Amino acid sequence: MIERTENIETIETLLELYCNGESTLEQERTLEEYFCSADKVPARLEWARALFEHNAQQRAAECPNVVIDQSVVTRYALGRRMIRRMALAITSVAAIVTVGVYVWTELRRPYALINGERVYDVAQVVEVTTTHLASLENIMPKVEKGFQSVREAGTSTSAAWEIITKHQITNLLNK
Amino acid sequence: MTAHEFNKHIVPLGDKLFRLAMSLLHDRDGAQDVVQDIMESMWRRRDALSTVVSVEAYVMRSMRNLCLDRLRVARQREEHLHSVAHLTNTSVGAESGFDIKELVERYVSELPEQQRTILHLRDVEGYEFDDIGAILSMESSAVRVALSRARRQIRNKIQNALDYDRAH
Repeated sequence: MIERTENIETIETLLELYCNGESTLEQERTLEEYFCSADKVPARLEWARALFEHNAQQRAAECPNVVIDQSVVTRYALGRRMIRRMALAITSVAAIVTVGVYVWTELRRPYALINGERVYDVAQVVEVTTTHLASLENIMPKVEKGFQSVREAGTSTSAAWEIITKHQITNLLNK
Repeated sequence: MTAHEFNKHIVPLGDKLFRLAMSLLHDRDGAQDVVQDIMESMWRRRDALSTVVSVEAYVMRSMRNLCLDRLRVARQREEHLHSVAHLTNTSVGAESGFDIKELVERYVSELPEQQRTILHLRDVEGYEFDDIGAILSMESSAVRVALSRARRQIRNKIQNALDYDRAH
């Protein structure tokens, strides 16, 4: 603290340090306190009063609270966290739905078992089926004829199957 | 950096950031905008802030860079200088009792940007030379020299204006 009247020399010494960039923060606070509270200063020091008053005025400016709301950051963080959780939940649900739809579609997809394997190609199934039906058409008259002979001989259906089987085995053995 | 740490270390810098922005932009609304922008920017980069040696210096440096970008785009400083010069030219002259506050503001705003920032950080915010050096990426001895030049220049200009006023 500088006494008002007797220390103008001290003030001027500090001002010289100040202008040389050699004063400490404490000395600069002393200068500001002096010039901001002095009723009258020598004319040669008016420049310093103007400058230190300007500095003090600048320091008094505060950022409006509306800009730096203490809760803004927290709200922002909470908002970000909620968005992250919602995104995670939405992604999880979307993944589950996608997998479910795929499995459901696969299970519902029509297929035919050919020689123990699933065949989804309709054209292939039609082709195989047509071939087999043609084969059946070739042998069905013979089968029917055989059954007719059996019925005429007065044999039961099961006995007829037995005769046919034995006949086929005999043919195979002969081959 | 958690929200709690952010509130503790970054948010309290709001007033300093605002004053620095004001000293560079000379625009209250613009200063508010850049403070808001820098806060949001720091929040987005909060993870990186944990690795910064001096968070305060980093934030102040970011603020200065952002303000300089805005100035380059808007050329607000030139407009401000023009308007203040017009005001002062009409007051310093035949009329006595000119506004010394406007005069100081004008002379400060006429300093080169680096000197103006150093003067603000030292005389308004009370930073040590090392801290100013960290903010501006300068040696503290260079900061001291630039500060001395700025103070002397302001002193001489105010003295000349006062002498002129007394003489007329």
